[in-house]
Amino acid sequence: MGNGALDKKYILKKVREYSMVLILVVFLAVMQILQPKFLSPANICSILYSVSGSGIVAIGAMFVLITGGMDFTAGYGVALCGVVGGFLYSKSGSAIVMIVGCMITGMLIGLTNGLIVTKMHIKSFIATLAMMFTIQGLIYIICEGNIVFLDDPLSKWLGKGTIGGVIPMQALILVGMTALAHLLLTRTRMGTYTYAIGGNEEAGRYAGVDIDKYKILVFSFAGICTGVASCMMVTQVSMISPTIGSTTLMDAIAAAVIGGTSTLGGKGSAFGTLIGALIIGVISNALILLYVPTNAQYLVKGMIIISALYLNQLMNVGEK
Amino acid sequence: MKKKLVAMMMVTTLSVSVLAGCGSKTNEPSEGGTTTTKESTGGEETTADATEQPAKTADDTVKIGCVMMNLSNVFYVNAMEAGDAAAEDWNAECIWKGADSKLEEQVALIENFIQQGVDAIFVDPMDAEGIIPVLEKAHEAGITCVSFGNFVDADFCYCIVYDDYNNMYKMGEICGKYIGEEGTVANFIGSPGNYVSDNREAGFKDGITENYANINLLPSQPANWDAALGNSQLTALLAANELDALFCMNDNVTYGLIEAIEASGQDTVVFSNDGDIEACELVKEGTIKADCLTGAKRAGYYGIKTITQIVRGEIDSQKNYLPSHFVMNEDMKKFCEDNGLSDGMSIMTPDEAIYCYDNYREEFGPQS
Repeated sequence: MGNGALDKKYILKKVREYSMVLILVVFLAVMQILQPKFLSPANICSILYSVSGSGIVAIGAMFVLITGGMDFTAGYGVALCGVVGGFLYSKSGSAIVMIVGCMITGMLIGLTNGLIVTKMHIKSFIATLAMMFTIQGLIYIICEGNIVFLDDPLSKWLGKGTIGGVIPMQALILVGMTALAHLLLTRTRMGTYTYAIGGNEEAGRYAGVDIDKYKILVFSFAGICTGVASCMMVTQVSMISPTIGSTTLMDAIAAAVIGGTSTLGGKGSAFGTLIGALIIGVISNALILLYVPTNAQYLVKGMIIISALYLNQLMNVGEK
Repeated sequence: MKKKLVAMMMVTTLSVSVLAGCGSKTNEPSEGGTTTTKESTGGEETTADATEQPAKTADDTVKIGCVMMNLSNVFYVNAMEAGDAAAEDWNAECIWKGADSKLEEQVALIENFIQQGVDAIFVDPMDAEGIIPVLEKAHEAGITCVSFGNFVDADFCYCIVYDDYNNMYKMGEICGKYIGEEGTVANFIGSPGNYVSDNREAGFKDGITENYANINLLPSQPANWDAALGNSQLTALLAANELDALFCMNDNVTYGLIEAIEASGQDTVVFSNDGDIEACELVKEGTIKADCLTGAKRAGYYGIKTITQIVRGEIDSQKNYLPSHFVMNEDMKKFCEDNGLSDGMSIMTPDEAIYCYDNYREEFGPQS
């Protein structure tokens, strides 16, 4: 009897833990009924391609959210990284130089965010909002309206390559970045302190944690994620223009929150964020394949996200 | 000390970048003796006269406050470059401002221009109705109001517009005929609610649906001018459909769509709009079947030139259409002629369009 109660409690705990996975499975099943081509290999690849860039931005956003902060630079950050990468590519003709340029630009954006938040004591919400405008200005100055086309074999492989002719390279990078984020959160001091900062920053400070250092690290990592995402998006379309990726921000934050990251800080996981990104990708894909009229797409997407969040909340009632 | 240094560096970097990004320009003398004000922060403390101002002569410099949606967008960067060239040629001074795609920011910028006492306001409004009250205020201050790309339904407001509806209607006709009057066609738009986007969408849609009953035109996909987003949307569509043709209303997104088509292996024919140089090259090699040259630079030059003429009383028409040209190879041109589709169309070869794209001074300049 006692064991039975324990089992029930255990199962309930697991159901709550994986509630978003269940919601994703339900979405997939419903969509397969409504559109028989939904789970075709081509469409699964299409979903993976569409979530790979925004999924990585979401991972970076998740880190900042766990510390109780907010990062609005991700969308235009992707565009700026691309523009800098494009400038370097046009000068060098090398995709490696472009990739390194994107990553360093992303890291510098994150580092600047971190320094503004910690050294100038400006709330991340405001600091990254101001940085978002700064980045827009920089894009304008650097880009001057130019488009750069990528024809390097490495960029082609990154953008459209597959492993074994089936799994898109971009999906593997997303999985790799998720695994890296998981390791950072669960196996390193940085991860422990990331949760600690979001849980109770003052307590962490009294315990001798160098809060500023870890906040800067978190923002820098989020910036690197932006740089990686930028590389993926520009190689996917084989071109660099200042608008690429600029629409990513909201999907990324929504993915992190749907994946269980608390906007108040102290809670979140890399796996959950991956699931959140997949849910957003599935919804966007479904709206296209169900031929939802253009004007209704945003409305329907918003309503489905709210429903998913509410369902998740219901499944987690009594958790505490 | 170290912390202070870092803080100072951050403040300096942020300030410089914000000033640069928000459109603050310093006066730079430009060729031809006119002064092109490039993004000035601030307002001269002059109060605009509330009475109707007399028409300016060719010797008077026309001061134009330009309020664009977003100066980081490729289109506006190019339009601004050519607009500054027009300012040189037609004795004007342009002050360019970006509004970060926000109506309220556009309203604030126009209020500022009224205070500066500019001669004309040139605005690409986020909301053609929402902008009217502040333009009325400018009009009452004796300022000439001109909208760009977007038709503002107010008697006092002049407009520089493209003949988008008719051009895209024609594009729809050509597309439908080219695929044999049957099949599946996709349509990629900018963002719903944007006048230009809505007009182009309506034109293409009507061009297909009013002429070809057997063509299945899929619901439009809002790519939001983002090639990566358009690429994802098309990849999804191609996973579930055999697409015979697609139309995209701006070249920048079309490039991303072509990548998705190549990845899918489908034989989808592409029609586009804008007539950018890269797109004309793709027309030349047959990747894009037809494009329509409006061109950001041509639009920017034509816009500023027309404003100076309005302010000087040389033009009085409310709607001023930017001349546009269809871009296609000889075989496609012949196809249009054979099928009676070329009536009233100005058709250019890709090479002619590429030449025209950058030689806007030749087309619209004082010597034209």
